[in-house]
Amino acid sequence: MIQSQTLRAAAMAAVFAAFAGAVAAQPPGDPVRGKQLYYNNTCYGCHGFQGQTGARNLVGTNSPIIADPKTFLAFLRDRGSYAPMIPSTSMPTFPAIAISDRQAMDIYAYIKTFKLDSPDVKDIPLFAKIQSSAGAPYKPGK
Amino acid sequence: MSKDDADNGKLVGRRNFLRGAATGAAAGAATIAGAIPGLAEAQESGGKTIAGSGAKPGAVPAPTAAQLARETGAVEPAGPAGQTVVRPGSDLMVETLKQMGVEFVTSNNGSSFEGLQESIVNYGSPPNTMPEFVTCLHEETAVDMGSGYARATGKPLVALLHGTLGLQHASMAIYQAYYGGVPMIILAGRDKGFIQAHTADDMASMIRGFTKWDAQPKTLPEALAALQEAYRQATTAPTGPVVVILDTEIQKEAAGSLQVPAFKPAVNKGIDAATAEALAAKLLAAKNPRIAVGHLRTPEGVKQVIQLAELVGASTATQATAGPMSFPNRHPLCGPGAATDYDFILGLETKAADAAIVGPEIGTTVATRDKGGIGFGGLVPTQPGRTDRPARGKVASEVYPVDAEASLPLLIAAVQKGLTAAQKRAASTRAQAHAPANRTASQAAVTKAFAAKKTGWDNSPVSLFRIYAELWPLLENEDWCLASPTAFSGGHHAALWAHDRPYSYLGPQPAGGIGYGAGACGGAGLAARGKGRFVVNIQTDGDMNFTPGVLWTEAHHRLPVLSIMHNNRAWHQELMFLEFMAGARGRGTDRASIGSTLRDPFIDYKKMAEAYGVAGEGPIEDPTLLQAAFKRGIDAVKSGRPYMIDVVTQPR
Repeated sequence: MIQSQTLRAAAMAAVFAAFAGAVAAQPPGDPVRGKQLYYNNTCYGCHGFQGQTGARNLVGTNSPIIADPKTFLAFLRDRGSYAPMIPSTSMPTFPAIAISDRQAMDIYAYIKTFKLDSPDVKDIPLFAKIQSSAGAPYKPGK
Repeated sequence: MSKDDADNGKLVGRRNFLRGAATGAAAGAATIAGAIPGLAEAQESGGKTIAGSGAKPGAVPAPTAAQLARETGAVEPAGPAGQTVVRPGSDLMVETLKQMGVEFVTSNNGSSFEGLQESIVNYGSPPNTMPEFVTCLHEETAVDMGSGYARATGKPLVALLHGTLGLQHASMAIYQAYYGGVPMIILAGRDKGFIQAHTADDMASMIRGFTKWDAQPKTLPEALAALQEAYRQATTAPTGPVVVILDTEIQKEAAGSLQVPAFKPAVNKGIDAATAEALAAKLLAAKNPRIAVGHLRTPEGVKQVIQLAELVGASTATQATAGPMSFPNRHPLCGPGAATDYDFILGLETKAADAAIVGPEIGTTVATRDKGGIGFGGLVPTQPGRTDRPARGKVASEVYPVDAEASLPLLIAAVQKGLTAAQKRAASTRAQAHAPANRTASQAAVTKAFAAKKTGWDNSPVSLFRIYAELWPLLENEDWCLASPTAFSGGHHAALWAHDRPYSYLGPQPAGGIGYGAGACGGAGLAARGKGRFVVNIQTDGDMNFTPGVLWTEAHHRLPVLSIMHNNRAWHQELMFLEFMAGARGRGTDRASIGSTLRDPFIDYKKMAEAYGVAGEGPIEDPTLLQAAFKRGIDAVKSGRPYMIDVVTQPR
């Protein structure tokens, strides 16, 4: 199953990369405007306010969809056509009437500011505490 | 056309066109109604009028002057004139509830049960004890509290409702209790002589399709018998909510020398002795036996299944992280065990086994209760849901359709009888091997959870995973009960926390209905009060706003409930659904927040709590502030007071 999903994701990335080739080069976006658009379009709903939580976090996933602006734009525009190819079918399609090319680049510029900044587990003291608790002798409940 | 073009006003946008069309349609409808004589009035009134009378056919008469005077408190309640009733029928009703061990009556007061309410608060020594009258600000809360209490204890309380109105206010919560098979006794007062819209000939019919049993006794002896039968029905598998309609006259009449009949508790049917011996033989013969445990009825069942597992040295599967009354998940026998080549799996209230004892589910009552053919979804196997999938994993080929908990005493006795010295040694050896393997599995689950969910650890707003992680070290040495549904907040307790008590986690909304959580936590607070236990409530904001008045009930009755807001300022699941729908139609998501978010203004839950008399703090957006706030909250609830911490969170 995992292998199947990986294959489908790779196939999807290849399709969008090919499609992206036909998309005209985009000027760089403005992350400040992008932040507002990210909020207004409720992108945070699935991706979290910093792209690190939610149903589909954006950072740390090595997703090919956000690897470059052209692929990102191609994905927004024609994502619905490829829904059956990927495991999740929840991501909407965004035609130009919904998000313009310029707005898409602003959003892209903003999500590229996201960083995977959570500490390593060994640097989270609570992890060791909770690990220790999970291995502690059983205390019968009442 | 790009959005930029539309924004610049160069073209008439599709949305503007649709808006205009909708406005035009509404205006058109109004014009048509106005052009047809009487239609507008009929639409407004819902029916025709009787010529010349002004009254609608079949209409309920307006309250009389006497009724209105009574409603506004100008006259005393109806009762036997000119005498004091020394031993009213409602005193015997209280006696009956006391006899059955009913601890609480949750209620929003109403004139149809003034007799019974007066007895609860005044009769007995001490009065207002077993049962105690719990003041609720809404009938939905009264019943949701009953669900939380029953899930924490395995016992029913009484929800006391006023006539047709109270039943309808409570109906959503009753519906959830039915889906959850939650034992509960619903009493509804009926006053035929008062405001007619508050009464009906067959009030229970309004909720018959989603209750297990009902009665409308005509005499006081019948009423006492009905209360006893209600308790038996509620607590007999399939457990569920039951209803007794109590006429006000019966509550107020003189009982004379009538005595409360002796109470015979419910008898749940278990397996017979021969089946017990056969199953015991399979457990004892197995080299690597396993027991899969679903949700039993009471804490006593949990004790017994622990005894059975320890006797045979079986590894166990649990549903303790999904709901109450299952096997403690950090017990040394709970987990995959030292080896997974199980040669016999016994299922108790789960069919994921070779042989299973699974009692009747609440759906088996549909045929006799849903006479109108409403056909509520998902209750019977012939109604596929859109998310139904074929069963996965092992499904028992040998199923005994009787109550598992009632089967355990015979099964344990049969194991004890058949256990040889060699089998006892083998069981001990197995148990010793399982313990370290299961500890390792628990620790691996923690590692896996951190690896997958630590992203966003330092985010502001706060990540849900961090809330659960910060809480656990503060809870692990306490007696706590996680009473709120947790699916929307990620359910991170499942991997991080030990669920070693029958009430560690009380499970999801039984019918998926929002508004359940706040009330259920209040009910769990009733179960926790005075026992050195407190309730943890990861409270979604959407749910909180259905019946926030439960906060006052928690303050008034000193319920130890720690509410931590999962404040994502939205009905977030619906927001995501709307995003997808708008996106699938290519219309963008910039308006998906309409109707699905709680913005402009943001709700201040600290102030909300304070208004109801609950101390609180927040909003907290910085995760480094959580630990100290949680400590303050736990100190407060351990002193017997509810506490609210408003945490602004990531959506999920």
